Amino acid sequence: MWKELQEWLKQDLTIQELKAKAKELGLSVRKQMTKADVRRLLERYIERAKLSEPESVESISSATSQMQESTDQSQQLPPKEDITIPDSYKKDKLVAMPINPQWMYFYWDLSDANASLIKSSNISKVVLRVYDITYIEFNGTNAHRTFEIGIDVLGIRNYYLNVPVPGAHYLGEIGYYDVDGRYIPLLRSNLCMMPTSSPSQSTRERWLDLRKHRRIVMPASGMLTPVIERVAGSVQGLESLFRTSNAGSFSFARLSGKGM
Amino acid sequence: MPRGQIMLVLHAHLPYVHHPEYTFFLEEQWLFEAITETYIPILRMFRNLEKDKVPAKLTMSITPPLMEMLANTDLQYKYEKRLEKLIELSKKEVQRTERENPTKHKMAQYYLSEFEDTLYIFKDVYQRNILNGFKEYMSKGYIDIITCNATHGYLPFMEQYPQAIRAQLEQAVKTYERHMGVKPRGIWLAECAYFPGLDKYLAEYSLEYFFVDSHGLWYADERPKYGVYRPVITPNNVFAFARDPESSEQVWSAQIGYPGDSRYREFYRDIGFDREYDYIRPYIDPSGVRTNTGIKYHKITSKETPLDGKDFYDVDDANGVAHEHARDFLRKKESQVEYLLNIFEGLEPIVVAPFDAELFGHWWYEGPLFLEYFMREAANSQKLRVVRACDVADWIEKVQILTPAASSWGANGYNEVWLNGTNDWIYLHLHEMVERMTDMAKRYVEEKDPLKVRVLNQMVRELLLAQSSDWAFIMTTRTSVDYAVNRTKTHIKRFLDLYDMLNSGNIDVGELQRLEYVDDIFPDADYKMYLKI
Repeated sequence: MWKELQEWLKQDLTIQELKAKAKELGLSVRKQMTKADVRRLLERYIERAKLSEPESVESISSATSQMQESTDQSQQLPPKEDITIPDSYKKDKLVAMPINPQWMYFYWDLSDANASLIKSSNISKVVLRVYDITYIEFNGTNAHRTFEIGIDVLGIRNYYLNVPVPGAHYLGEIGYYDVDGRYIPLLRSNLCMMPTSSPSQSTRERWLDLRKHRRIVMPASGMLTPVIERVAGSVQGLESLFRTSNAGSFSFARLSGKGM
Repeated sequence: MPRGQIMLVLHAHLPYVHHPEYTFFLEEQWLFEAITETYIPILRMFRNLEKDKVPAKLTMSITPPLMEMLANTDLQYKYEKRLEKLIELSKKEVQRTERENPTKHKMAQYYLSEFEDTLYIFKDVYQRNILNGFKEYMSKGYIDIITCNATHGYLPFMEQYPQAIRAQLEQAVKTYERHMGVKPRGIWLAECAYFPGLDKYLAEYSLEYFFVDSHGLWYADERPKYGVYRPVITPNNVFAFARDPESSEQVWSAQIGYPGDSRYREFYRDIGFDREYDYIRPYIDPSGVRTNTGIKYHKITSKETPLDGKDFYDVDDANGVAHEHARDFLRKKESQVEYLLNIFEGLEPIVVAPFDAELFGHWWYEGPLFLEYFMREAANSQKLRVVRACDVADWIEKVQILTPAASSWGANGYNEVWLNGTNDWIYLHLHEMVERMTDMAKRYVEEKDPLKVRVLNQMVRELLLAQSSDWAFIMTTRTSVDYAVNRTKTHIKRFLDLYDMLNSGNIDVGELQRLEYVDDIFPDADYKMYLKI
């Protein structure tokens, strides 16, 4: 009974509809009540209805607890839902994501057309290129540096890459060499800005006077407080230590740089 | 005379776990344990401090999913039932321990009265919605409650989708306003994760301040003159506070931290595991799997002591220790600010100490008591003043302009907890969902058919729920992995099904209704958020 009412209440209802329902249930509705008031009235009714219902403890085991045969006959589990998800969306896509100052991650997805192109006989080699285009308008040839790795783009779907410069802006590209040795780009990634890992070398300092609404620019005076930096491998975010017993043991073992 | 300032920040968050189709669900206990052990004890602290007229200042983020769960009548009802069972068990324990051991017996009586008081606060004082309590102490000036992005999504991984970031922020602001009655002033970014440029979006939603980890300022685009001990302002006029590494170390370090004291309560000894099966059966997971009950009779004793060799816990002893630790922490903070005042030539340093709220009480049982003692002691300090983030935002007159560096408070300080071999597979789907959501928002921008609008808005809920950083985190830590994997896949699948329904024009109303019922977060979700590219 209350379940139906709860469902019904989920809709966008007019005050008239709400009031009519409340009256139907024998609740006292006053003229000056707002829509929210009537809603609350009905919600309280549901709550009371729930409390007065005899308790029927259904047995349920969640995903993390081992399923055990229950002797409880009243068990009514919702039917198991199919949660099979696709492993590709058949779209051409190369995505770059920063992991930390030294490591970046790529994943890609391919359309059927490009997947079959890659299999074709006039391709001699498929590569993942990474361009360092920090602070430049990239035109395809003017990168500061270009890195290249031969990869099996159909066999694997992602790649962890160790990159040389923290704070740099990298762009990924999947391309191939044809039988004549010509390089042909296929997919380009988003721009990936790597985190920095050292204090700024800037020689200026900017300040804002909030009372006078004035900006002040002056030569940098450096940091007054001594800083003890932590290095990768140590446990930062000590909080996580308490969230879980084995946090902090995360290592680079999985970031092999060798794809899967 | 200038005094140092300290800002304690508690980040209260749990992923949205509500399974209305089940009367008992193991993962819903996360919320129930946190209410009993953390959230209500924090409210109790404010009640005690108010009674004694002690001024206290705390900054606390209550995330949108947590607000939604705390205000959910079905979860409130389940929690009340759970607490009633616990009281029933405590009564049995009081009788039983009388024959066992005097310290145990004393603790059984203590638990009974604690749980009864908890029920009283929950039901009678705050009418089952403890957000009423937090609202009360916000309006009385004790807490600055800030928001967090909608489902604790990891924003650096949405960088290429401004509309996804905006949806996380817009839903956050809306949800906060719906529950608290006012707009939020500040935000805790999920996992403290920031990337340069994010401040622009925060400014769009009138958020005045956020928090970064220490290296967010250390490695900023210009050197922060006062290190992490003064907030900065970004080029888009949002204040950024940075975490003081010393405070976290003092409280949490495995070697020198307070929670490891031998006289504190041992987390891993619970009667849910210790009592004989037939006796405890009605108070654990109905499937028969043993779970924590919250009744624990042992103290840490020493780190080397095996679990079965622990001594009995006495709450009065632990109480004294918490007081001692609070005094010690205050002394350390006083000497820290004294040192900083000196090198800052009289400018007041602001020490920011953020923690996961659930560490206080849930993990460190005496944590809320420690906080209370700290507030009491600090109220009399000549060297230190406790402040909230909003106080600093109101007072500060001159501030350095900086763009903080990309950073998070996760292990090693960057993104690797949320992107590694255990969880990298999720991003193909999360990004695809954002793209499809955006396409649909554009296609149905003028949609009038209420049924289609419902499908679109339910797609928003599935997308936002899939984006919770908690799932990736859990996969990394390898605890409750199945649940996290299933939740991620479930929301992806439900989203794709809804997408197909809309595309084919074949809307299964029954299925839509079911999804609205099982994924019932954000009644005000609006697909048009994804038009904001």
